[in-house]
Amino acid sequence: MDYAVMTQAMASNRISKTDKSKQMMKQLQEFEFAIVDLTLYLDTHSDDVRAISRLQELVAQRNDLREEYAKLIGPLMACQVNVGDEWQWAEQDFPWDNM
Amino acid sequence: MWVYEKKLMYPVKVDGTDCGLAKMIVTAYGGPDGELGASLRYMNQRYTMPNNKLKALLTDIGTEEMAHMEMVAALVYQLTHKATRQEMEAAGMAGHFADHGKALFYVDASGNPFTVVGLGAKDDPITDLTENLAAEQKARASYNHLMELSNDKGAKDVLNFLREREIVHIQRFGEALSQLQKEFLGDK
Repeated sequence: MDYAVMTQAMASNRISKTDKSKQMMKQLQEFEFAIVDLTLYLDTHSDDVRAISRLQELVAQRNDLREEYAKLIGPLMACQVNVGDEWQWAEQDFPWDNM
Repeated sequence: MWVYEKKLMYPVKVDGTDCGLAKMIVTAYGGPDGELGASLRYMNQRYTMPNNKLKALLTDIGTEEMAHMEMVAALVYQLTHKATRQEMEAAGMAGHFADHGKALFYVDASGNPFTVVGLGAKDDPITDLTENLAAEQKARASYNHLMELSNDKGAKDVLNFLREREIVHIQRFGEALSQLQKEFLGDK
């Protein structure tokens, strides 16, 4: 689902925070998979300019998505933005407990 | 340095408790061809690599192996954490229960503890890269075996992802080895 559509759906309670969190996480994992794979490719094909520019595009998109995730769902890294008075990093679930 | 992200590289969600399968999959965690060994081997070899490209490749693959280790740990944890003591005993995990309860531990499928004795590091990049090609093939073969042993679809999907990544690493190490050989022969 498109991010803007998802935000709207969430605002009008048509989509739960859990579902939204799962969808955004899946998108993030997809972006980061492509980034990890392209990085390894570039380590052995360092003069492939098309791959470098594609990687830069993906990283920019991933960074936007990661910031949105931190704001709406919670921080992925301890140093990311904290919304509210509670220390979110230590409150939110760890990924292996996703059952 | 490294920073932690609260996210798995690929989602891990098993169908249910299966101590027998966990006892096999744990070899990908602490076995001779598992992810701990792979990450430690690359992180250690990189210091004596002859150029920055090879240092980058070993750092990047070594980092990915750590993310794989976290996925394998998630598999083992999810397959066992709701198990009863009786289920663990029936799967041959009484010894594990005595020593570790339901905590994870770095062992192979037969319960042998992790050891660094066989981790290759020769200060010879041709030898080290050849070692890594063999290591990735061994890890791929182990994932094939684990997929054969798995009746849990959720676990099997994760094993399939990890198996695929070994193939990509074989590809990259093969390219690196071939480039290095060309450089030694003066082709480049």
